[in-house]
Amino acid sequence: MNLIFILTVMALFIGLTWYIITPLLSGNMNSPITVNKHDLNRKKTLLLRQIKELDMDHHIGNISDEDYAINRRLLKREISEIISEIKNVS
Amino acid sequence: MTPVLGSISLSLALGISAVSILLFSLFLKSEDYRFYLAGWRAALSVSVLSILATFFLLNELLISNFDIKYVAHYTSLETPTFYKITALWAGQSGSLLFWLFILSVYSLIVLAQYKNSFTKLMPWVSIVLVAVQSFFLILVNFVENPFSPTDADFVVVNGNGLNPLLQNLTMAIHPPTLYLGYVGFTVPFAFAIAALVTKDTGSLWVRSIRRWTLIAWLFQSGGIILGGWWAYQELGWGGYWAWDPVENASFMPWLTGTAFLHSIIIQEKKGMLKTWNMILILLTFTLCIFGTFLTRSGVMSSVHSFAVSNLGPVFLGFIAILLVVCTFLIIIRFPILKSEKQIESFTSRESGFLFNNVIFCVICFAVFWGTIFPVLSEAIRGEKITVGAPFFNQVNVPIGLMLLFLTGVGPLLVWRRTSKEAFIKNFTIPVLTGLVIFVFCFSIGLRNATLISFPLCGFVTMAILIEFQRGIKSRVTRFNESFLGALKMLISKNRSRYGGYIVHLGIMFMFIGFSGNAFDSETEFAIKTGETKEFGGYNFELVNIQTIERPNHIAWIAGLNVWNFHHELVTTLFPEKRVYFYKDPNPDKRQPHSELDIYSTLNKDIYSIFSGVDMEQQIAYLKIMINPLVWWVWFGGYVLIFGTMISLWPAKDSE
Repeated sequence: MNLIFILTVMALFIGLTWYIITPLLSGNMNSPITVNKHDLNRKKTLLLRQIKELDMDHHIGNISDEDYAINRRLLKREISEIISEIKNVS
Repeated sequence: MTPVLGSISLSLALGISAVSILLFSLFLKSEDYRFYLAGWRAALSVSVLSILATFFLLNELLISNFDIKYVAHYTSLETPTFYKITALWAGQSGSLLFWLFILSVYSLIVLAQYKNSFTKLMPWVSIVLVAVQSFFLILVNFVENPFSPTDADFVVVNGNGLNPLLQNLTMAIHPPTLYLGYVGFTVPFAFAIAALVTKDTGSLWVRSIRRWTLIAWLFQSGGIILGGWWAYQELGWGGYWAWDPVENASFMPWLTGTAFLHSIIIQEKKGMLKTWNMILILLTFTLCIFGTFLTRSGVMSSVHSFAVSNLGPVFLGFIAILLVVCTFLIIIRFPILKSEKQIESFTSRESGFLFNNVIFCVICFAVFWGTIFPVLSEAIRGEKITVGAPFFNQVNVPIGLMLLFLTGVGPLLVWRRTSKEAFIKNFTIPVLTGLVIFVFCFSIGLRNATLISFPLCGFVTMAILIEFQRGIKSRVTRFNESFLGALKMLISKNRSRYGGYIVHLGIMFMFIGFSGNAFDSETEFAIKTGETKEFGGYNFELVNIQTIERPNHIAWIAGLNVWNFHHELVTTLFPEKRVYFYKDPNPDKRQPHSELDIYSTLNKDIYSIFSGVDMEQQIAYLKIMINPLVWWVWFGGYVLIFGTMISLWPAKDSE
């Protein structure tokens, strides 16, 4: 094995090690990901889609009036809670 | 130098994978974000190094470095460049590296996409992904290293070359597609484990992984269909599915994956079947690993080859660990996985989904049992009992028809309970359609399983069309849209649901194709140039036999005119008889191969195989098959893929 090859491998190893350990050398220990707005927005979008599907199911007769009313109310309540959480995070 | 770099990349990746798991564990213990970031970077490095190693091997294949055992074994100087690339997954160690490569690509996407999302789940998702990568890294580092030097004590000037059966475009695409499916199930599996560990098992989690499951399912389906297409086009036995262990290995996770995609709808809408869904997705991934074990360990050819191979026990150990971990997690999380509601009626859509799930699992068990029975019988009694296609057909045809029936029933049922009025209203037209087709089939003399399958296909088609019609009608009245406008909006606003119905239509078309098997016919004959033979309502005239030399084989091509009974030329077929490595002085190394020619129409295929040739007497030995309705299998496959892509297409946020 020639010197260039050995140096290439060493550079690769040192580069990777440096890349991995750099965050450990920084002083910041706070986690920016404890409460995540992305996750809440994702949940909100999914719930809104569920409401739209429920409306459609009801309109084409795949769900009874009683079930529709209960499910819609529950979904709306869940969305309200998530919106409040998003406001708190903001 | 490159092979050494490849080996070093794999070794480094294995070491860093351990570091990554350690860093994520430290983050979970201390909640110090620096550990998460370092672990994330280490996980990224594992993937990049694994991808690099794959490119190093690819480079060796392309430059024909026969100092590497793998390159010498699966390529030769004559192998076309394209097939040198596909040789990457032609053999044991290469295909394991390729598994790792695909997993690394998936991992990179997941790590990059969700770096700061799914805050509770991501550390565990990353740990699981890296752990699965570690398993494959152990295999390619210590058990089947693709960079191993050749054993030969002389300079290898040329390699063995790729198996002629694998020198086919479909076979080049089929394995990567199937692997994308197999490996793709690792992502939902990782999320499932993470959800169990963190107790985040709500319906939203399930909805978030649906896309990943659908991606894996799409590739798995595509891979299975391509495999069938390849078998039909290349193997020359006239069929596309033989229930051999390799096919079954890909079919089992497909079955449980399909069941999962159905039952998560119940969890999303009703909060039911949480435990069942967890079991299904964990089982699907385990079956993916089991499938790789079946095809890679040599256990199917003989338990003895399994015993001498190091790969089998390692795989079996990994499967055992998976089963123990999954079972343990399911048991300890059982209280939070309990359903919020119960199924209230036998005639509800929920029970339709449940029956469909049961049937998928019964088929999966039947396939599993039939696949491992020869191995078990050999291990226990010392005598290998072969389980052939008749067993699988006998068991699965009735269950499959039941599944087809439920495909139609499902959309017609109402959530929670179907009232008598709704039942009559929804079922009347589909049932009448099925009955009319039944009477027609009976009157033309059909008496086998097709007497059931064709009417069921009619029933399913009508059920799906009614579902579309109801949706369109709803939009027309609510939004005052035109018929076509309503259809377009219906699909684009409800991609998941209506894409699913299109998939069902695809399955129905495939069942039409499967039913055609009942009418297959075949003959074999020797024919001289200028002679004509009659079979299946056609006259086959051998016009000539040509000899052509190509770079890696010699081919004899029969020119076969096919005439119908009205003396009209239907088509000219050109089946080939090839011999690969025909210049090799050792006759044992020459590989004969028949390249088929097929004339395909909507109602039947004329399938020609050139079995042998006598050039002195200008005689061709041919096998002709008439295979009705096969076209519908491939058409159904296209529709299935199209429907899945509609389901996968991302919805706009504004919607």
